[in-house]
Amino acid sequence: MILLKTGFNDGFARHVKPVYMYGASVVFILVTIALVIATFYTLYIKKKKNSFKKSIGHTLEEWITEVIINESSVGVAVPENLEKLFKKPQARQLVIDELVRNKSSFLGSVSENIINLYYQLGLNVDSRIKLDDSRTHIQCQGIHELCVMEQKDQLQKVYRFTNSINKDVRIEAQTAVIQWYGFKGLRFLDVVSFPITEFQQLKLLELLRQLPFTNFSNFNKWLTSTNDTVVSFALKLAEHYNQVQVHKEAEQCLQHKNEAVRVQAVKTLAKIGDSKTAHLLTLAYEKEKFTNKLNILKELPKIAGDNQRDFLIVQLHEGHEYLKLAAAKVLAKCTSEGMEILEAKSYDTPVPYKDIFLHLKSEAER
Amino acid sequence: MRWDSMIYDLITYVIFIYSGTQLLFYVLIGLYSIGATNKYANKNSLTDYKLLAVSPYAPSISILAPAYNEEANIIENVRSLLSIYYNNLELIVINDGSKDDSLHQLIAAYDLVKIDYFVSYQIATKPVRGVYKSKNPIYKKLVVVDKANGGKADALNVGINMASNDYIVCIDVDCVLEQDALLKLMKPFLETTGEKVIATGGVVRIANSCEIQRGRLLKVHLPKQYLPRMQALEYIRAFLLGRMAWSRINGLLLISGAFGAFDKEIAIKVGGYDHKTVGEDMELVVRMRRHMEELKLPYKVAFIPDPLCWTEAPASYKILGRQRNRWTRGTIETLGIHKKMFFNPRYGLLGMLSYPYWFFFEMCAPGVEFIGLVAFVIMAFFKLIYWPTFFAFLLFIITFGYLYSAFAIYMEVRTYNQYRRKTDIIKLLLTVLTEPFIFHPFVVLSGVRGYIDKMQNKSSWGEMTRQGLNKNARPAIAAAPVTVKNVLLQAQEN
Amino acid sequence: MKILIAEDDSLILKTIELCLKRDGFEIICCMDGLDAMEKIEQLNPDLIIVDIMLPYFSGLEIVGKVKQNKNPVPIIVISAMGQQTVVDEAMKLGADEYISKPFNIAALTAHIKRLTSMEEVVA
Repeated sequence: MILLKTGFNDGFARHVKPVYMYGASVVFILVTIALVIATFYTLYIKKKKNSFKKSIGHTLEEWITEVIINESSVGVAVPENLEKLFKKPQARQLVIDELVRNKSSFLGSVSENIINLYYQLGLNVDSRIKLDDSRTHIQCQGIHELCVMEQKDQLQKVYRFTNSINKDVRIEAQTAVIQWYGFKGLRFLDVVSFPITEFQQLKLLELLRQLPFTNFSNFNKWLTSTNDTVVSFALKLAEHYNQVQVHKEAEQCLQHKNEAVRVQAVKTLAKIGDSKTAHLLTLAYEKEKFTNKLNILKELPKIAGDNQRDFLIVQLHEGHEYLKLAAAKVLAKCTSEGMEILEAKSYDTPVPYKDIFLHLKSEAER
Repeated sequence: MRWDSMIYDLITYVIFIYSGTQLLFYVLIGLYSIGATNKYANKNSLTDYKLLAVSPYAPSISILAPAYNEEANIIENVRSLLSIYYNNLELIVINDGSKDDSLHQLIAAYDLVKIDYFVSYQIATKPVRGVYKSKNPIYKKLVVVDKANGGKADALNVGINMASNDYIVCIDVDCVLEQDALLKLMKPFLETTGEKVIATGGVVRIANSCEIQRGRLLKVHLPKQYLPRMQALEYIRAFLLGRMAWSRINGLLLISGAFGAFDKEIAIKVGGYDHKTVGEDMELVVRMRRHMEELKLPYKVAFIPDPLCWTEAPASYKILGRQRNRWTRGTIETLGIHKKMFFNPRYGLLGMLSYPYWFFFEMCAPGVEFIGLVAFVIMAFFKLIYWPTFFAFLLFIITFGYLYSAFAIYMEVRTYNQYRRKTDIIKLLLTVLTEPFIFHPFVVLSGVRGYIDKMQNKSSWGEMTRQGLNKNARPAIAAAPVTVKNVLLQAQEN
Repeated sequence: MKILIAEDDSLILKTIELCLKRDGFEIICCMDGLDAMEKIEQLNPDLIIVDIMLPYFSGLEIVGKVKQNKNPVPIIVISAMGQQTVVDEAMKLGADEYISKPFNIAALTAHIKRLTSMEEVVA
């Protein structure tokens, strides 16, 4: 053993002396203690906050519900114990949170009363101040509150945020504009240069769905936007609201360089199109990769007919098994004698067509 | 200078650099996780996740739940999975050739009938024996597949083959999901605009001693037993600090097998789970990442810092040892399969940082420590240890370990604050004190056993572990910095 | 007339409760699906109002279970976002009426009155 032969007194220990290690350990211990103290302090603060919430939560809830279900909440007196409380920012925030949460569930008089109460307590000012906060999540919160409480007079300020560099602020602002002005609010799409995420698109579509449909102003502009997410979103709108007049533009989107746009274009065209559109989709099919190929086959049943039979029979023999199954599905569903063709095929070439045939048969029976 | 003294110095410095780098990593991980956690907490307070559950534009999901001899709880577990509310969803329960009565119980409980179903074997798997669906419309989302036994990876592959939706969510049937867990897991797929999100994972927590009713978590308690409690701390450290930091730089290599979502198309493209390794959860993520790197496509593996999934941790040394043994083997196998990426600049951050980190500090750590310990014993025997330096280093490492754990607990209290009682936190802190003397040595030993088993080529999961409650909820960052304790000891024989 | 309401947001629950109490109904409140299922069994309400998204048992499951037990009690489903597919599913399972958030309390009471008077005629 090497170690036995050498009598080390050089090297390592000269540079890293025990005393350094002890020193570092002491520092670690001190920091650890500080962290433990901080932990318990945080725990204490959280508990205090929580018990504060709990202690006033019930009274507050009773009072709020009492006020908002009454015919008229104008000039409602604030109970003495609450009045003092409302000077505390935490309590005010708590009230805002409660009102905001409740507001989004109700319409009619309850909803009006909630807004009245929000005014009466001067909480709109609290929300407005948040817009100028430097922390983006506070800004978001402010926009959200103003949005739910229908503070439309803040449009100008909020509108500027629709193209904010911060994603979250942008999302809240776009939501607010739509919430207030419905389909007209969509004009931010004309100028928005940042991407609108899929999630945000879902959210906006959901908001719009709750509003009476008017019409779209700038569809062509959106469908040719350089912002791919705007194109995608516009295609979704066209799909949802069955905007047949944009068929041409949507067709062009089949050539879009972004796959996500092409996928959505197929969905939109399957909704707004007719049997001629089905032909277009089969043409696009050849140039597509697996994802959109499958997508096309999944969408085709909405518009396909006997004219697509030859195309589908070809697809039955080509490519991935998923594509074969999907093609067989369209064949069975949309073409006359589709099922018979598949049955014949299942005798002819049992693997894989027998299983495919049985699968479709069993699906049709369910 | 004599040649042997030079070698000795060399070894000493290599080991010193190893330990130092590891400490540095822990510090960086700790610091880096702070910003990420804060950012996340602020961002998502306004998100209405429910939107995802109902929107027709939400991504379609197939949940894959493999089951093997789960007779005792299968009905309840499936029931709780069925109660997940999501519009565009199918639930595929894969009976992996159970020897018990699972299948018949399912058939009876859910009114199942065998149907003709075209199963594509694009990922090669053991044969499917039958596909079942319910006659009752309440259970229309349920698909039960009966297949020949082939292990968890094989069962999941059958699920991937069968899945008709765009995303797959793999789940251990016995874990307990938080409300909205699925929605939170799916959201990152809809959030990006540039890079493609290929997989997402969330935080796994320890369910021992928690109150659970009908597959839902009612109340969180700190585990009463020592081992689960220690693991609760370990998971906090790993998920809240480790994965958070790694995901921030998009360097995650592991999504827990207990609950994770994947882009189906890419999972199929890379060939699904590898049934030859016991670390199939990690291996799939690494392979998917590698695939994207090789195609030079921008991508991301996302991580949700919210606790999403609660799982029962092993409470006995025997089962815990087996689990860690398996994790070590899984890591060795995964890194072995993808050794091409080791310090390969072609794989960017993955090859230059994530892989090497796992190699040195996850895979090698038990070995290095074990060798250190052996060397220490030998040297102590030959009276070669210079005790002042030894104690100094020992104290240094142990206190650093405590510091790191205290930091993790602080972060936990600041963010999710699952254990709200003061006594729980005190208990947790006291548990930390014992770690370097009881828990950690055991984990190292189990890792070393993993090496030995690997060398003897034991590749099976082992019947027993497959039945165990805790299968794969591994937390990625093996242990506290006490890992380096023994390493440094080795350097102290003056 | 006993009405059971299952809704997981306490403030919303309270608001509905007070409004309906004012109209002279007796109200049973539940915050989760499990509680609701138990109370439906025990207390035999004359009408049930359930939110679709509830902890433990979803509103859909409650509708399914109640209707499968051949319990004739009318059910009104509240859907958070009124997505048609969900509502369709609820109606298919046997829900008698649905209302989507945000909603008008007056509309809800109108539904209640219609459904309960129907009950009386049948009985």
